[in-house]
Amino acid sequence: MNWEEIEALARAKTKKRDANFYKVIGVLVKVGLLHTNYVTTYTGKVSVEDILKAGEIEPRILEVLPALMLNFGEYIVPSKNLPKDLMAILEGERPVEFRGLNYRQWI
Amino acid sequence: METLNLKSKLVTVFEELDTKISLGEIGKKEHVEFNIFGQSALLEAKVGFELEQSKDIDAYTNASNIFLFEFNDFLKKFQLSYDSLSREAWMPPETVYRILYEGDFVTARIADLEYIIVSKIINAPTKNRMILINYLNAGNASVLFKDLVKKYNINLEKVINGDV
Repeated sequence: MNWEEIEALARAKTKKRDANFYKVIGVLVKVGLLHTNYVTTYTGKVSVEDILKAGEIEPRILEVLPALMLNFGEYIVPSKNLPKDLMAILEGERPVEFRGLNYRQWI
Repeated sequence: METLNLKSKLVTVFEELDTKISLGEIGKKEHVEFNIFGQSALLEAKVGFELEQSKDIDAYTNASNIFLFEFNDFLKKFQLSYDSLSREAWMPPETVYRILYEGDFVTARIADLEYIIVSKIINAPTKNRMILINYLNAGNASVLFKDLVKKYNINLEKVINGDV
């Protein structure tokens, strides 16, 4: 591929960031798990579903998700239908990775 | 809302470390250097797109553990921490680092954008795929970046498609 084709492919693979994405980032910045080069101000609760969706755009969100749930649960909308891999961590299991990411350094 | 950007926080930390060394409060007085790279360095570059990073500050340094302990203590005030595995991370050997802070006992530099992007897509292509995509979309691809891609034989198509 030449550079024009590479840039066209990058444009096609871009993922749009919506309001829920910024809410998730706002919470993660608020609790100090992420830093950004832009301003975010959301301090309400976010759902695990929205966090997982935001993690498809920015994997660092998934990396700190277990830490967010274990240490800052007050920012999470309660849910009875958590994914099994996340539930296992919340119940005390400590697999090496969560969704292919090293999460243990943040919990 | 954060009141200081990352650059200001890092400069504050290096100033504090410098002062503490100059006052002889951390053992012997010796000059320490930090070459910062990774996401924290990227966050300070004029990338033209939105970025997120964890608490980690990646840096090559000649500082001994006693200095790193103090450095980390200062970082904690800003909810940051030094990644002790930094020395294991790969950066292109020709990476250019620019001065961020220069004091009597502390010199801190920050890596140029292109070298960071290249190291990220070589070290962890899946995790950094969207950074590459956003970098290309922002129209940032410089001659230097293209030269580095060629030199290190990086298959951008595979990285963008997530086939790595």
